Amino acid sequence: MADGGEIITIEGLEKDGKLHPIQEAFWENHALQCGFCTPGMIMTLYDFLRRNPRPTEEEVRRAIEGNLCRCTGYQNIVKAALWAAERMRTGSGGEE
Amino acid sequence: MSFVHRARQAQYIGKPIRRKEDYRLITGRGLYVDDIRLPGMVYAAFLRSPYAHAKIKNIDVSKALRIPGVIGVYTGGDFRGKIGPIPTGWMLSGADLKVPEWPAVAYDKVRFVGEIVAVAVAQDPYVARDAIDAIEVDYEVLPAVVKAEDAIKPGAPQLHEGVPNNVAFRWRFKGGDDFEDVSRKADRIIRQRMINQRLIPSAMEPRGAVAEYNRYTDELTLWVTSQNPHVHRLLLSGILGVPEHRLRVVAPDVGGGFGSKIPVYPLEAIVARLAMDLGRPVKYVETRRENFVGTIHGRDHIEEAEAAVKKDGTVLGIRVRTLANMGAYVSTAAPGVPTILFGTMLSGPYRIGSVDVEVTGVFTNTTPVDAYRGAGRPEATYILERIMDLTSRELGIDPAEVRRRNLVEKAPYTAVTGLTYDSGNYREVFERALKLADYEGWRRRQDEARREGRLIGIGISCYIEMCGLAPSRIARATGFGLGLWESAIVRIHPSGKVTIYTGSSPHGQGEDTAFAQIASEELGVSVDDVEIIHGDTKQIQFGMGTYGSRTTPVGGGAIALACRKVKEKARRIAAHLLEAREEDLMFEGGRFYVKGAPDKFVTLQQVALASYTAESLPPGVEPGLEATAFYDPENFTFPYGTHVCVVEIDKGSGEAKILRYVALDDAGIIVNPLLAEGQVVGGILQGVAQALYEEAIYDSTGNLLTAGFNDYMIPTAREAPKIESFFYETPSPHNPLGVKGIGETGTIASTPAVVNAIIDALSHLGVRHIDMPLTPSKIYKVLRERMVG
Repeated sequence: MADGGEIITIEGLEKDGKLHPIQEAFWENHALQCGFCTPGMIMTLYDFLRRNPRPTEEEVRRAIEGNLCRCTGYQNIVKAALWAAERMRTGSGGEE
Repeated sequence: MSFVHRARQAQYIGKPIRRKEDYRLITGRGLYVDDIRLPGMVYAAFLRSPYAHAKIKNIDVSKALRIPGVIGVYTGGDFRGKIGPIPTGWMLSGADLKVPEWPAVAYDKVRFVGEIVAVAVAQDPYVARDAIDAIEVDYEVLPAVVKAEDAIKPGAPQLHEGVPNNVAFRWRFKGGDDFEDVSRKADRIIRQRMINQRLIPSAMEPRGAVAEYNRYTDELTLWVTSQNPHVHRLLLSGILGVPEHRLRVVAPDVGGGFGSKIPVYPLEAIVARLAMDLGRPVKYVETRRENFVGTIHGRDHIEEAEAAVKKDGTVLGIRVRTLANMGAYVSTAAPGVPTILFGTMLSGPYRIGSVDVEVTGVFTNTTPVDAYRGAGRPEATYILERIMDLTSRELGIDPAEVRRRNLVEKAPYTAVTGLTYDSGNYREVFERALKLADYEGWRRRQDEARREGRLIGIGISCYIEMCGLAPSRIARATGFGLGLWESAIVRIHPSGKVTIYTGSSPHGQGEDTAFAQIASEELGVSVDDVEIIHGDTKQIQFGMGTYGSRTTPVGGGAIALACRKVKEKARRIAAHLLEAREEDLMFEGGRFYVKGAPDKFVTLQQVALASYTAESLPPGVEPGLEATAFYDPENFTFPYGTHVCVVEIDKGSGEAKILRYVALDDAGIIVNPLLAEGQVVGGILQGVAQALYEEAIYDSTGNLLTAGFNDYMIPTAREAPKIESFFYETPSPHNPLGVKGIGETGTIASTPAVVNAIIDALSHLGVRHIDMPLTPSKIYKVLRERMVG
C-alpha cells in the first residue's frame, strides 16, 4: 500500500542539525512532559500544517483530536502548533 | 504564567528555562522500556482471567507448547515458592488491616478480571500471544461482587479466607471537639451522599519491564516503568529472594505515571523470575486493554458526609463515613490513600472545630485501587467544597461568602487534624482569585443569562494539600514501610562540571531542568554544566522516588543541602588558596572572593581542580569535591489556592462548556514557572475529566465495561478548556528552598470547581447535587425532569 510512498518519522525531521519549526515550537512552548505522545503529536501536526498553513486554534484542536496526551492539558501543544505555523509561514524556521 | 505575588528574585530559580530533556524527546531519542532490545531477548505474554471470581480447576497448556517458537508456558503452580506474594508497603496502623495473599500468578482462584493466570514466553511477541490464546482453562465461576456497599452485606460473595465481610480495614480518625457536641450547637446539619467514582490513570505509556540476568556477574537488571526504582528494588528483592545489592532496577524514560507506576506489580516479578530461569533477557509490555484491567485504578469512594453549620455559614464540624473500594488485593500504597491522605485533610483550608471520619476499606472483585494523582486529597477536597456550596444553598448565603467566613486567617495554623499548615495568605489568595476571575461580574452575567433562559454557573474551589511527602517519623507512625526523606549526591568534577545523583525518579515533570536550576543557584554554575542522574539503583544511593508532589520540595531540598555542603568544603579550600580567612570570603556567581577585594578571587572550577590535584589542601581536608545529603523534612508542605470555574450548559444537549477557568495557586517558591504552569494545567484537565467524563464502569459480574479509550473517555484537545494559571508565592519556612510542590494541586482543586459550577447553573431548578461524571446525558436527564418546555 505504501509502495513508492515517502515515509517520514520523528527521527527524520531534524535536517543538518537544525530542528524543524514544529520541534522548535514544542521545545520553546513546553508542549511536552513525559514525551510519550510527542512524536505522534509532532508528526500529525507536520502533516496538518502542510495542508493548512494558516490554521485557527479550533482547527489545530480538531487536527490533533486523534492523539491523546495525559500530561499537558493540550494547552501548550496548541500554542506550539500556532507558533510553528507562524514560523513556517514567515520562513524564519527550518522548513525546506 | 503570571505571578500575582513573588517572594524573591534569584538568578536561576524562578526562571522559565526551557527543558534540558526536550531535545532527546522531540527528536525521537526517548528511551522507554519498550525501546529496549537486548541480544537473545524473548517475549512474555500473560493470560488474564476473563472472570471476576472463579476457581481454577484445570489449565491445559499442551496446545500452546506445540506452537513453533514457544519457549515455555507457565501457570501459577510453577511460580509458587519462586515468587513471593505481592506485598504492601503501607501497613496502616490501628485499623486491623488485612493483607491477604496476592500471588503473582493465580493458582487456585482468580479475584478480578485481568488477574494473571498463565504466562507464555516465545521468540516473538506475537507468537507469545498466540500461545496465550491456545491455553485452555477450566474455571468454576463464582458469584462476584463489584460495589463496596454490596460487598459488606451479609451473604455477599467472600473474596479471601480470614477476611470476614470483605472488610480490609476500618480506620477511625477524630480531631477537635466531638461531632455530636458541635451538632448540638449547630443551626443546621447538612447531609449529602457523594460518589467519588473509580478512575483509570491511563498514562500514555503502559507498564512494562525488561529483565536480564548476567550469570557472569550474578546480577539481575530490571528496566521497569517505575516512579520509585529503589522501592521496586527493595520489595522485589524480597519477593524474588535476590539480594538487594545483586538487583539493579532502572527506570528509563517513563511515559507518565500519575501514581500508577508507584506499586510493585506481578509483572515485574514474573519477568525477572523468567529471565533468571531461562538465562535470556525477557520483555513484557502491556497492551492498552491490559493496562485498563491490570494497572491500578484510583478513587472509588462512597461518602456519607455531614456538616454541622451555624446560620451565618460557619462550619463547626464535619463527619464523614466512607466506603473505600480497594479492589481485589492490597496494592503497595493503597492502605494509606483513602485514610491518612484523605481523613487528615478534611479540615481543608478552613477553621473547622471537629473532624470525625471513619473509612472502611472493602475488597471487591475489581482491579486493585491505589494512588492516583492527588490520592486521597482530591476526595477530601471534593467533600469539603461540595459541603461549602450546599451550606451556601441551605442558608441563602453566596458561596464565596460562606468560604470567606470559614477560611483560615493566617499561617502557621494547626488544624484539629493535628496538621500544622506551614505558610500562606489564605484569604488574600482567595480574594485575588475571585478578582482575577471577575467573580462578581460573572454573578451579574449569570442573572442576565437566566433572564434570557440560559444556564450559566460559577464554581469556586479552595484547597490545601499536605505534600512534599515526608517527614519520616510521621510516615512511620502511620505504618508506612520506609522513611520519606530524599537523597542527593552532588559531585563536582575536576573541570568544574557537576553531576547530581538524585533519589527522586521524575517521569515527565522536567526535573532534569528544575534540579539543574537549583544546583546552578546554589553553586553559580550554568544550567548546561549540571547533569542530573536519576532512575538507576546501580548509580544512585537509595531514594524514595517521585509521587505526592514531593520531588521539588524534598528531592530538590536534598540537592540544595548537598550543594551547600559542597560549597562549605569549597570555601575552606578557597580560603586556603586565597590565603584568607573563611569568614572573610564571599560567594557570588560561582566565585569566592575576599570581602572588599572582589578582584582577589578563585572560581569554583579552580577550587574543584585544586581539590583533585590535592597538593595544596588545608590541613584535615580530604581531596575531592562532593557531598551527600539525605533530607528529611520536619513537616509536610502545604500548597493551597483558589480555583474559579464558569460553565454554560447547553439546554439542548446537556453539555457543560467551560467558559472560564482561573487558578491561583501558592506552591511556595516556583523553581521554573514554565514547568509549574505545565503541572497545573495538565493536572486541572485530569480533574476536569473526573468531573465531566471519566468513570470506570463494571457490570454486575465484574466485567470492566470501560476497558478502552472508546468507552473510557479521557479528554482530547477538543474538550480541553483554556486554563488561566496564576501563582502567589509564600515560601515554605521549613523547606531549604521555600518550595511546597505543585504536581497535584490542579487535580485536587479542579474537580469540585467544575461540579460546583454545574450545580450552580442548575440551582434555580432545585438541583442540589448530581454525582460525577456530569456527562451531557446525565445533565440532560436532570434538565428534562426539572424544566417544563
